[in-house]
Amino acid sequence: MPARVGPLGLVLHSAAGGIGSVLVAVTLLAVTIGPWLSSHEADGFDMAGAFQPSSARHWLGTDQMGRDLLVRIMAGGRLSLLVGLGTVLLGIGVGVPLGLVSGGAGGKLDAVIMRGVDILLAIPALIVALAVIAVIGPGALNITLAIGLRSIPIYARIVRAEVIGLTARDFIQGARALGARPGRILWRHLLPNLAGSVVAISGLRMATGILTAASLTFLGLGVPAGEAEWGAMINEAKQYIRVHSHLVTYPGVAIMLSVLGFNLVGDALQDAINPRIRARIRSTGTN
Amino acid sequence: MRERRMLMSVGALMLLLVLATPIGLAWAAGKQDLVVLLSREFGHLDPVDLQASDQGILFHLIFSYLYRLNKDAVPVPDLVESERIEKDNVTWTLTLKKGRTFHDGTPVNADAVKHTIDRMVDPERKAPQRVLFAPIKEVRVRGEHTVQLVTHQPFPALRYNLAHSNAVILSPTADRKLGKDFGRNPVGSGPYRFVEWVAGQRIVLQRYDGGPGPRPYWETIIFKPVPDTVTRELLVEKGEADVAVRVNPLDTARLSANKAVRLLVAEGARNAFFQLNMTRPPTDNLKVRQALNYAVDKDAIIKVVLNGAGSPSRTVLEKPLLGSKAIGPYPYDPKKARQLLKEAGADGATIDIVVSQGNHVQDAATGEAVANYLKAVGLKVNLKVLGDQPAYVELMRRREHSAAFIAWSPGTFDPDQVLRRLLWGENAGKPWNFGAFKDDAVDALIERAAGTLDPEARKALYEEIQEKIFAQVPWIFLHRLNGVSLLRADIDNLHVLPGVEILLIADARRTN
Repeated sequence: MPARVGPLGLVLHSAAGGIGSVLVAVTLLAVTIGPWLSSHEADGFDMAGAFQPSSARHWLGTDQMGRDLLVRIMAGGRLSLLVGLGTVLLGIGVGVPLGLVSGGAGGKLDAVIMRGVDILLAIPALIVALAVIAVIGPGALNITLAIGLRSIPIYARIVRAEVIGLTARDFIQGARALGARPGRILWRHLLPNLAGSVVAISGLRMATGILTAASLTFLGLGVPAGEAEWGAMINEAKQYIRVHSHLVTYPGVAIMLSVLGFNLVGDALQDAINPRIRARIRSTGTN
Repeated sequence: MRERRMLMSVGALMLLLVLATPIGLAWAAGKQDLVVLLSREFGHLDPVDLQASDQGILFHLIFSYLYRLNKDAVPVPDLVESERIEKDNVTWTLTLKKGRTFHDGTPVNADAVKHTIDRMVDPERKAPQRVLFAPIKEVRVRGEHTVQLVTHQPFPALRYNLAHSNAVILSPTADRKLGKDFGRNPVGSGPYRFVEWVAGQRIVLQRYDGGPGPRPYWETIIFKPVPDTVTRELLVEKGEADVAVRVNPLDTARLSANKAVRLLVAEGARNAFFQLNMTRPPTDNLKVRQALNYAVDKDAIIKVVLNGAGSPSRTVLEKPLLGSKAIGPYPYDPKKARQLLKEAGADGATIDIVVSQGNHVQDAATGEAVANYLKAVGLKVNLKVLGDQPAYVELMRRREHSAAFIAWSPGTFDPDQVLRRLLWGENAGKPWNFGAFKDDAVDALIERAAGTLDPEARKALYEEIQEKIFAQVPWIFLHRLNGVSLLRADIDNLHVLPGVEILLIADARRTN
């Protein structure tokens, strides 16, 4: 009988989950305290020092305005991560209650909510975001709203399915039979059992949020010109790609690694929550 | 699993499409066919408007002019056989060459000239280019091939106006028949006739065999819009196209090392500047406007942003315009800028900057550099970058900005048009005097210079005008942009008009 391991332990235990966790940790550290550790500033402008290659002074070189690329990448990640986080919070804050209501109430209300969800899901995420930005204008909060909107139906869908599945299970039926009020069933039985799935989607949604934010800013939407942000940096540097490719490569790598990190963690969480895989991991010790 | 497979097949399909694009572009490339890559698609080819200076390349091929600019940008007679300026100094009697026909068979005669000019100045039409013919009071038909143009006052620059890329003579028959559709099916009497226009794909011109003189070399000329600069460069390097406009200055070193292609440079094609809003704080203050000029390092922008493809701008009428006089540039002196801002009580003020993206070489990057220089002297800067030209013009029209980027090409090679469009009081607040520069003394001098016949006296007046304007600092003077095009090395005798980036293709040929 192997020792009892919690879901988090399982995540760290799997190779992919371990790598993902490291990537996420590095990303978080870099964007939060990274810029403070450097003597350069994200918009420290120096025309004479433009297009420098990597050096001891500028680890990743300088960009077209002579700004330190590493510091800009670290500072630029803040918006990406905040948008990712905002997307997740919006999904949880609105999508989860919608899913609970839909799955719990059933009938007409369920049908109405789910058709709304279908409509939102039918439109590609980037198009939804473009349309929302076009209406409400750019800005960090607005980007978060624009991208987070598309997270709502995904959470609602998954939570609804879980609720329907769980309410048919014996322990909920039992609780009902014992006269537990709906509030107690929700709080004590449904939510704890839902938490795993919600956390797992959140890792994946975080990754999608970062990627969509970068796509939007790459298209020149969302942040003021010249602001350090991954997609915007690539957009501004793309014309130098054949001469100074590092300007595009490094922000691109930053996007890739952070998205990969959150994806791996999300995947590993999903695996850890899936009982069958969980059982296999417990019995073999590997994934 | 199924999802993954589907994703993979979609990916493969997209890859195929991407690979197929250059193959499609290589369509129809015989020895005497020329493929020219432009940077954007046009809405129309109607001379009433010039949406992009590249339209001029096609106008020069499809149409004839009364006077045509030669490769040195001097107007020489095209449809005109002989000219006589009457004693009143306002009546120009022009005799047209005989036997010319439009591509639809209509004879080129005095009626066609009158029809063309009347069409342009028709108030109903609101043609943006009607300024070209505005000096003309009346057009009189004096015989099948004789026409008289009467100007409001003596107007020595008339030949230049008549040689502007949009001052084409068009077929009255086709215009009456096609109406609004003329712009998508232009009919002129130039060396090439319009054949087809596939939106977003190509415009095809074919040699017109009914023209006079030796037949031009090219059988077919195909124009394709390719917005991405790097893609245009690659297609010419690979031999899938022959000519590309607007090369990225950062790529010129690499391209000059390639023996298969050569660069064609139009020195100082455009005068690039930020037009300052003269009626809105803080740029309504002269000291602030001076400070902005001292705050920006023009040389560093030329060196880094343009990779050397430009020279400092020194006046509002840059060469090759008549009377061009180097007055500036302002030296880079951030200390002085801070001091001037302090004196004006504007330190830490907010400057709203608008800049276009993709309209001119490195426009957005130039805007960002200027914004950074202004921040460096303590100003707050709102930078707006707009890729959409109509939206950009609309934003300037609202005049909620402090500074707007413009890269002006003189068009007629005569100072009058440049001043009237950019700095004339009567045009204040309207395109393209969005900064609302207005000075009665300057306006009076503009009128006087326009009517002065003696070239030396006229030159002296334009020098005075430039000094008066420069003293009021209507712009942040930046640089003169070189226009660089890319050609296959075996193409000979293709020229570019120095001030306007218009390629003259009709006399070119392939040498091998």
